[in-house]
Amino acid sequence: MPRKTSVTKSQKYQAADLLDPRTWINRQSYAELKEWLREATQQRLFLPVVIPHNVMPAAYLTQLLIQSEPQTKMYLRTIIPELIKEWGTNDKPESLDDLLILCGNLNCNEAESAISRIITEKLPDDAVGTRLRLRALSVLQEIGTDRSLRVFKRYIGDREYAALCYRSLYLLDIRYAVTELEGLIKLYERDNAGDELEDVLKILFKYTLKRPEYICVLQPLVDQTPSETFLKVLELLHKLDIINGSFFIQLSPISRVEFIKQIMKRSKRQEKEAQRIIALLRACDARLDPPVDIWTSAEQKNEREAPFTINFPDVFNLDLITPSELGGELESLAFCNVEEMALISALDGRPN
Amino acid sequence: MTNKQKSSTSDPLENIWWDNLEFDVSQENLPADIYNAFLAAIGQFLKTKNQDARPVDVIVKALGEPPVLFSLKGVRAPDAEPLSRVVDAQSFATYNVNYEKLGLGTSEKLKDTIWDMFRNGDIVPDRHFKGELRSGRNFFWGTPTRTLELLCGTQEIRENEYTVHPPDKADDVATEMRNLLGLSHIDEGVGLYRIDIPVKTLEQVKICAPTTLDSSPLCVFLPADNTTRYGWTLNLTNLQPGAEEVVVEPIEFTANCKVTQIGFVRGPLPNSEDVWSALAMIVKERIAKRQAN
Repeated sequence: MPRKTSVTKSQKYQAADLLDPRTWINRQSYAELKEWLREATQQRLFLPVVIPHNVMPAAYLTQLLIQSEPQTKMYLRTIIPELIKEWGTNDKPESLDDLLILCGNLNCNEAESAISRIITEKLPDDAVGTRLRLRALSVLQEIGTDRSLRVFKRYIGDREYAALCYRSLYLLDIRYAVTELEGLIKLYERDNAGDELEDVLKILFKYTLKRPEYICVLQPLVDQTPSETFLKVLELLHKLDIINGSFFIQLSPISRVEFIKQIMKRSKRQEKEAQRIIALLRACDARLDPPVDIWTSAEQKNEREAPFTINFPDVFNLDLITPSELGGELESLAFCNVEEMALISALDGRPN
Repeated sequence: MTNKQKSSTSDPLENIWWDNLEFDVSQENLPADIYNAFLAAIGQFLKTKNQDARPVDVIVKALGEPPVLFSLKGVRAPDAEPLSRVVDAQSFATYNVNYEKLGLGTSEKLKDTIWDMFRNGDIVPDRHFKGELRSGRNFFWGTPTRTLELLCGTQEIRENEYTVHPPDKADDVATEMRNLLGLSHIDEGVGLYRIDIPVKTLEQVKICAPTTLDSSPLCVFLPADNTTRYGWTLNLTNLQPGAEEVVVEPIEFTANCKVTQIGFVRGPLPNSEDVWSALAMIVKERIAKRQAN
């Protein structure tokens, strides 16, 4: 925490500061910087920063302050939270909006409790209040810790804030991506807002997780999604090109087989939808590549007999195929590669 | 901003602004009562402000209270035609995309995420465009679309969303656009979008040639003369008058607007001393020419 000095009038600036105010900003003391930023956000008097005539002030200030020296940024990371804390309902909404934009862009973590309080206590539920609450929640997403969980949980049931709160929660703990999805689906369904649900899933999978991380969400999702929405989620993920051929190909062989097995288990529990689930997986064109050749005994392989070949589509019927149907006992696995072992394990329930 | 920017001029930069204002008055770009009201505001400010206030303080204060008094007061109205506005990626993401509805946070990375989403066709105008086209004051600056259309071909991503075609020209186009429009606050590496506004959207709003009272005290800008209904940018490439400019009342940013993701500005800004010297010279030449006439 920087030492606070008594508030003094900001240092006078030179002509050169008008053209490039960064030097001026960097030489301000903590108190001077705070006074300047307070005046800038409350009264829109930014000098020696001259806001270009075609931009919004906060956007320009953000670019300017991001470039300031580490010491100045350290000051700002305390000053901005203090100014946010000072903001009251009688102050201009624009002033809070500017401070929030700066706060998020400069990653002012100290503002967490002040912003939580603004969201829950200071903002009205009218249009302006909603707009500011959205901005505040979006900043809290960036700087929030577990202490903000209660705020996100409080607002996730409101469609206006649902997407923000959902992402905020799963950024804190990825398990929320699974546990909160069901509620979100119901919320968007109720309001006939399927497009928004698609956006939320796109953001999760395409713009937050990396492809190898998909399985961390998809596996529990397949496990935990209630029956009534399981197929819907699966089809949506396919439609959004999240569950597709390349997703399966990039999975490790064991994960791939386990994942398919899991989905198939669900299809068995949801008989009416089993065919649609299988059709969807087929449409993914995911394959065990190369096709798995299974010999039912070492002798069979040694004698170069034709193996029992399982192409990918047949995997969907694994649970229906018993080892005896494969033509014999599957006891000797020594000649199987990892993929085959996983498949066989999936078949007969043995551990890999 | 660039590190090359420095000022050694003893002639205050605000003088260019005053010269431009004088030119505005001489060309009857401004109604006399507005000009007089502005002078009165200046006088009032000087009476109450301490002596060491800089001229730029005076201008900012006078323009700032209340801004509606002196904005959009130009008497020259351009023909009805599509207009365009060029915005940086940070502003576009922060003010014109409903990123909160998408679930995204306010952060330094936001502009990059929105950039990628736009390119991937994941920004849907109907759902994701929001806010107004405006600046910190109660209007925005635009240029006739025909001026910018010449600079690049485009490729459609989805309805009303485009990228530059061929893609490898995108950064060159962004740089050329920055320079043509005299966007002297946009430094290297900044991504640009072009927003085209159809005539129909412009029918109900006030549009006029900008006057000096619309510009900031340090503004690379040339007011209209009595032969044209537009102001002019200073082209940062050749430091000569560049593109035509107008000022427009704020417009709701909706799916009716066509957005082209341009590219990233490559190449530094010209030395600011050169820019201001060139601008000062053009302004003085215009005044001299007017006096000679």
